[in-house]
Amino acid sequence: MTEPPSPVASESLPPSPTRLRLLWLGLATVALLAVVGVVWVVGRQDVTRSQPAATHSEADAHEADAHEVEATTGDKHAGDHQPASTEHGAGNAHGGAAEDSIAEEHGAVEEHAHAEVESSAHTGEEAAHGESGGHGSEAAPVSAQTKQVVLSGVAGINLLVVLAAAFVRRQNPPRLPKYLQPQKQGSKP
Amino acid sequence: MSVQYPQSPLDGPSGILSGNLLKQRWIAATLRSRLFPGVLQWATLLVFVIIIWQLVLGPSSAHANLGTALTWVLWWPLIPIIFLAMGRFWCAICPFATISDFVQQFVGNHRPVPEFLKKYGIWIIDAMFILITWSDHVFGIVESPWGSGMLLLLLTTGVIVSGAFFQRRMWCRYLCFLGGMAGNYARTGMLALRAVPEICKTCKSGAACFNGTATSAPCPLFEFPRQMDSNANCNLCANCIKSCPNGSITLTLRAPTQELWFVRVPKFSEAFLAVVIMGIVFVQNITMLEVWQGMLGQLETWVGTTNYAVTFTISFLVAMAIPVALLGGTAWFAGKFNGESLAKNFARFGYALIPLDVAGHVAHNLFHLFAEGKAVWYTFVAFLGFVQPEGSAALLSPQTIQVLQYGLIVLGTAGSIYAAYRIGRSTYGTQKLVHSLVPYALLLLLLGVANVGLFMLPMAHRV
Repeated sequence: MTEPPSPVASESLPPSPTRLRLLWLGLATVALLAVVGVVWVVGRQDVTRSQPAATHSEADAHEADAHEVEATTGDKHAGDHQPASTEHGAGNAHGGAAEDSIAEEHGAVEEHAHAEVESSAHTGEEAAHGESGGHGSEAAPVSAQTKQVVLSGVAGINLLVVLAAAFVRRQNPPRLPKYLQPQKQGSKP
Repeated sequence: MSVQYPQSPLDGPSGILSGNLLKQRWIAATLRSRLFPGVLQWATLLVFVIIIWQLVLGPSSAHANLGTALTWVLWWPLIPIIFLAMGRFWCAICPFATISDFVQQFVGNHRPVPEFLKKYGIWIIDAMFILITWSDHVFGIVESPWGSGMLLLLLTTGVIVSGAFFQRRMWCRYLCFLGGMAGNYARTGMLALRAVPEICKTCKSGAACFNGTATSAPCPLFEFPRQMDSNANCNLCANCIKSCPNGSITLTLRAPTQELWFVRVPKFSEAFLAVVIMGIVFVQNITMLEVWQGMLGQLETWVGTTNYAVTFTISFLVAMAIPVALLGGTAWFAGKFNGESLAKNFARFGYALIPLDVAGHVAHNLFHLFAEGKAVWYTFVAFLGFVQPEGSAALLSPQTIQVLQYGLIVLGTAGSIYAAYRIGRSTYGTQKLVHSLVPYALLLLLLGVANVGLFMLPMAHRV
């Protein structure tokens, strides 16, 4: 890339103190709301999602939603499509899927997978092993607490970055591109 | 007050298929509208927010997650097709870019791009691409909604840092792994935005296209249309069309892959990225095949561990090294005939791999799009609160998908061989052409056959 010889011939106009204060106030409010919102939402998820996980840990999948069980015992594809699961005896479904075309069998296999929900947690773990050898490992389900911590952390880091940038900008007002410069009164757009 | 845009004095034919597309009023009006591409940017940002929401807080099973379906079944397969049709246009409406612009507008420090990024950015992109693909397999990013969500949030943080401290869209130009791939794929794109040098010579606007004006932003990817001869870093955001006071910008249709025939200054790093992408497509294909389990078992026996991170890393390195070694060997061999060094040959003819890259990428993802496409609808229904429909997620039969995949690979191979031919012809004339071309044509044929072979085997699903 070759930059043009003529640089931006714009002058920096430091923002007025009132605007800066408003900016800081706005940023702080938005940031606070964001963090509170994330924590609140994740906390709520904690209440609504902890039940299936507990069910899984007790290996009593009868009452749990089938998809949740699939998620907690390993990706269903492990049981459906990966040869490893056949070896572990969890995947009669896989045997069928391997012989027939995968896409056509997807629905049928899926139903079979639902039927297999009644199988033990041990079987599910083996299915997860099959997946881990297939296309990356399906990690253990992430607890709501972990989500809460990670999401709050990410929100916090982003917030810090934004606040740091605002602080640096206040200390050293940059040369703004023309389209971001305040228009002088009476000037044509 | 409406802005009057002058007509280019170099008016050619005004048909859609020939000449300057900006001669079409509706196209020019659309691109010059203040709403373009903002409306699309905000729309994609809205979808992005829904995706993130679903990935991190939605169902933990990829099968039931709308975010996973939208990202890996719909968007990822469509993205190379968009690059082929419209170059890097996706980058103009990418939610990451919108976030960067938004942050920049309010707290941006507009620092210049660090020199090392200008120099080594493409290598960082190469490394990021490899690292993300490796992480996907080892940590199961695609299969895990949470993992996918974390990847997107991690990238968002990078984008925010970039937008908060540096000029324009530094992230997109110098760091985004998708941007790197987009830059390569966009060279095959059928839309080309260029400036007319004769008009630019008389320009007195102080490079308004590069610097922007009071009403339009500068080129976000640091391109100077006057000197631009590649689509690699043009995202068709139309800022330059809006800011050019002389009507110098043209938008033309061209044959796919045409740009690859005349790369003036071939860069080793860009050629290397093309080969890396070939390796990544191989890895993606091989690990989704059912024979992969057998290969993995064999490898576990050899290395004496069942640790997947170890065995996959070895397989990954081998799969990545094969295309690099093949192109390196071919470049060395061709150098015997055309008298150029291995590095020069590698850089010059590495670009010829791009059509096959695109074809392989599209063909691989065609499977996910057509064999799992209904998952997007199923998960969307569930997202709205209804009972998720059950049944096959396939839109087409596996046989039909395979035929499409073979067709694409044949087209890609032909496109690559033709690109190698044109590169050879424009570089060496007719004298050394045959001797230079034959090794590369054989290599491309081999890679094409290998791709077809991979697509003949059954593949696993994503959702």
